[in-house]
Amino acid sequence: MTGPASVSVPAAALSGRNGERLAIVGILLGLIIAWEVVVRGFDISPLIFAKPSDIAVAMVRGLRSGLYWEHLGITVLQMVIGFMIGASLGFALGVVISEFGRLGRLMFPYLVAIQSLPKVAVAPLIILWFGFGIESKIVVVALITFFPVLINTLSGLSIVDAARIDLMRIMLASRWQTFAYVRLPSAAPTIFAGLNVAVVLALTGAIVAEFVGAQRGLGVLVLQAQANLDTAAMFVILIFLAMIGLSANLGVRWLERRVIYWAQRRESEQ
Amino acid sequence: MRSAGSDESQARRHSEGGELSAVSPAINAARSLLEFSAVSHAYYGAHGEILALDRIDLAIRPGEFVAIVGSSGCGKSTLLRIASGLLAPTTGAALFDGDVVVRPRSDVGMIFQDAVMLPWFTVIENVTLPIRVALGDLAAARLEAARLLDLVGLAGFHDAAPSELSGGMRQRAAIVRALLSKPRLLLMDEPFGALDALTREQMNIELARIAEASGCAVLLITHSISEAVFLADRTFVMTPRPGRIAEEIAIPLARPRAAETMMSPDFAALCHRVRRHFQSGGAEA
Ligand SMILES: Nc1ncnc2c1ncn2[C@@H]1O[C@H](COP(=O)(O)OP(=O)(O)OP(=O)(O)O)[C@@H](O)[C@H]1O
Ligand SMILES: [Mg+2]
Repeated sequence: MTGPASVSVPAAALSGRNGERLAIVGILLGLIIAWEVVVRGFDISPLIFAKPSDIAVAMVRGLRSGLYWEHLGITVLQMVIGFMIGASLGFALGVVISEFGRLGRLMFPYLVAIQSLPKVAVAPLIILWFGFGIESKIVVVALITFFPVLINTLSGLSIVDAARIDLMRIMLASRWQTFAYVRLPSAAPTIFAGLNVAVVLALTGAIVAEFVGAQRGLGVLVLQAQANLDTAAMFVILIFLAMIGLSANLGVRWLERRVIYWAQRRESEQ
Repeated sequence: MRSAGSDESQARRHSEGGELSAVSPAINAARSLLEFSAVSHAYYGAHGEILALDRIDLAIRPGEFVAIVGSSGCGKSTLLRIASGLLAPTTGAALFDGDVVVRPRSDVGMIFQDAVMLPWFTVIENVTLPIRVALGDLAAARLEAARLLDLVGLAGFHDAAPSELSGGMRQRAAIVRALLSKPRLLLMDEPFGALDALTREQMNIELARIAEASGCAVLLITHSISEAVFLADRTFVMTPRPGRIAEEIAIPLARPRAAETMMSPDFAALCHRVRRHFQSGGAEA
């Protein structure tokens, strides 16, 4: 969807200098004006391509009427809860598997099998099981975010710095202490890479699940707008989705900077 | 002269570590702290068996400073890992205080070649980590760590990230970390190998001072001849692989040792005596 693609550019801009930010805003304004001019000049049908002005009007009207807020809230709620459940379970299982190697070897073939399945294809089944309410969406989001976090937790914890492990052995550290003081912090950057992937997938999962079957949510609104041939409304929702995706991504990055403070220290030193 | 040197180190020990004297009775002055008895070690790699150590015998008395010099790959690190309990020898045994070493012990400290510091902890957190791991008195440890860090010239860097320190500063922090748990034996694996010559010399002088003050026994691995002679009470020269003890050389230079020690003719003569082994073997000096 548009979420992931539109995320990276503004994210980089936000971390840049003021001049760069101005330039980004300028480019955005330029694009919007060009868009307006092209749609008007070539007299493109509003069914195919809405003018920025129409989109702005639709957005203001929708926000005033309160139509969007509820749906937006539902989608964000499903995404956030699903992400937290999926990421926690993925992390927890990753830790268990890497700590108890035997169990990991037993489970691994199943995990690979499930992992290679496109999770959105399971959405209809999950909606059959959990109904049209928000529970089924949460399950889909959790399922879709679970794997990248699990895989990255496993690969992060498999990094073993022999010198650090020797240090812990010399200190007579317990298994738990070695985990808390060395293995987990060593794995943290890789785990966060997984969370960054998962948060983008979470929004995709929520929207696709809403497409498959839901009463409320931005995915439902997209389908309704499509049925009503309301192109401007579809664009409005796409803008909302991009904003949600961007905020979620920035949120995870913010958390990452706070948790992995030492990586940043090394960067600033360079 | 040599026996005088080790008596002196005995005295250092007992005046310092009163709480330890019950474990190492003063009556049995000849009793060794660490003893290697016919220790051999072979690695099994892709190219078959590599004999790294061949029947090593050596003994270190409490408070004594022993250096081991040998060319690269002769098994020095292997020897130290066996002494620390990180590695089990293929045959023979390392004894600490008469007990076979089977795992690391809290009264044996180790300093690695590249001062392993955890980047997510500050310098003082790194230095006090052994106390934290041992669930000891962290508040007291922090005070003591702060004092020792100041002593080794790291005042003002207590709360710095390890990445803000130079290699020499990190190594000094690693020494503080090892000393903080009041070890009876300190194992050092080429601790200054990565440092430039000037810093290294300065670190040697500092280490001599610290070792003399703390009274703990030190087993130092190095491939610098002058470092070994400057610091040690005794120096063992190892042969190229498989590592054997080629010669044991007593270093009866007076203590405390300082920069002037390196200027004395005795120092030069001892260095020469160690160097002979490498000239004939064609190894690095
Ligand atoms: N894990 C290992 N597996 C196989 N062979 C090893 C292993 N570790 C060391 N060796 C071999 O054992 C020999 C001794 O290694 P060791 O690390 O003890 O040497 P060293 O004297 O410390 O060398 P250096 O001065 O370069 O540090 C080397 O020749 C090396 O090839
Ligand atoms: Mg070595």
